[in-house]
Amino acid sequence: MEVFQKVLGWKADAKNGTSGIIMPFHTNGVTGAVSLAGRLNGIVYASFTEALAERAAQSVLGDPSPVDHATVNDVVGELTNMISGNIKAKMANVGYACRLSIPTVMRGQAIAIDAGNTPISVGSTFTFDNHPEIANIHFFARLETDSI
Amino acid sequence: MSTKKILSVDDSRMVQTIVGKTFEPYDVTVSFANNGEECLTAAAREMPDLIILDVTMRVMDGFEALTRLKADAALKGIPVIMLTAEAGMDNVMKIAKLGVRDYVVKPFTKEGLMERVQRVITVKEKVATEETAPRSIEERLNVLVLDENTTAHESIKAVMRDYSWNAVCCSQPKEAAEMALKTPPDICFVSLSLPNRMAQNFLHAIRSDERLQRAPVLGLTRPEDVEAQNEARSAGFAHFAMRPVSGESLVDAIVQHFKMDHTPRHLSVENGVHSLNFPAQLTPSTLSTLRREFRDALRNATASSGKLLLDLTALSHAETGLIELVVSFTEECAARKVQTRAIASDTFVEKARCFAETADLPFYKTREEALASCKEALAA
Repeated sequence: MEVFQKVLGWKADAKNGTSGIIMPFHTNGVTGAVSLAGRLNGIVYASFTEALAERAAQSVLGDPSPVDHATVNDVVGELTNMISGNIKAKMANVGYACRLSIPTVMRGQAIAIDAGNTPISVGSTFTFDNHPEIANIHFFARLETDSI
Repeated sequence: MSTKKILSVDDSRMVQTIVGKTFEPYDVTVSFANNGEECLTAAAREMPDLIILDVTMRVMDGFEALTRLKADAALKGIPVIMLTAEAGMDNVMKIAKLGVRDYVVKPFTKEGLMERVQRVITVKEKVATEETAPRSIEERLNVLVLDENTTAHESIKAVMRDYSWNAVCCSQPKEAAEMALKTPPDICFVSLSLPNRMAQNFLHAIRSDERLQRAPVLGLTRPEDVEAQNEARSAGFAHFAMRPVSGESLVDAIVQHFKMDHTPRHLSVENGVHSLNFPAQLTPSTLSTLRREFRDALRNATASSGKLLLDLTALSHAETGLIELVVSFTEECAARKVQTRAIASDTFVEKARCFAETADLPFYKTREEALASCKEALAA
């Protein structure tokens, strides 16, 4: 929520928190992904509806004109990076340090994702300033005992 | 105190945009690099007063770039603030060991970044050197365009005319400088792809004339031409307009630069159908506004209902300029396959029939009649 507030100036509300997500799960719209490797092994997905992703890019650029896909992807990737950085910091402070990959971004509807052997699986839906578009954030991980 | 130079290194356009906006109000020249390798090249060339360096980047990451900066006798004195998405203690310790002056954790606010920067170097607020006060869209403007690509010149002039703005388009710096001295422009657009630093030389030439010192000069460039933008910034370009260049794109840049109110005055939308409503009193300025808003209405209608109503019911007189406008709007709609219908009173229709151009043009008495006709045509 801090990421959306600080970067976009949006007030975010988290809804429908879930855990124990059954694989494969599906993402829609513009989805950013960042891998975590170390004592915490996993992946963070942040998916935005196309309209919301474009609105985020317009908000960053301060220009309501249509935004090209490359710029929208860049914004989604960077937001995912910041969200992952937040998770990483919190986990490192309780003894599960990890490293982050460079974000990747994919587009499409109903993309099936299987995060493999990850006992930790949590997700949440975010709405912003009562707009109909949503973002979903999912975090899949397992804790390692003999890694760095 | 001279203008401070800051080099921002990040592979994200989003972060670059935020960093750029952070320093807009300050007397600072910001240049950008996309990764550690470009950072080392840019640092050696520009010798910035400060480097803001991201950690996670493709090609060469921030840690390696920092290590190499500190190993270079000429560059090791440049203070560095690291930007990181990773706030964990291990990361902070690693950064501290490398000898950075400070670090900023993403997400950051503009104020937060500025506060960290002020701890390292002193930057002062910009003293206005360019005219950026809000202006009215109705105001007459002289616009100078210097672009070696002449393809869009005629369309730029035509679109600017709709706004009652006078556009002078040149392909050679000498000609542009002469025109600028003859009719001082309110705003200039200069191609950064002109050879032999012609854009920079043109900027210096017009800045040396007292009357032109405050005219905003925007560099015409492409978003990916970071190198050209950096060079232009060093030469004094403060603002940019992105290619491809068209009349509409330059109008958008002008509206944005002068913070003009662009709210439509004569457009309405009812049940998804756009209407252009002609006011009872028509002045040359109103006709210009109608032309401009027609373009927006046509764009919107093309993308949505495919219908556009020209509501002339407030008018009782017909004159040549108005008739020409109605005919040109109708033709443009037909060319874009948008169904257009004119709604007018009997009095107006009687007068319009006296003009050859509108002798056979169908007019409708009500909105309902006009929409029913559109429906029939679409069904057919």
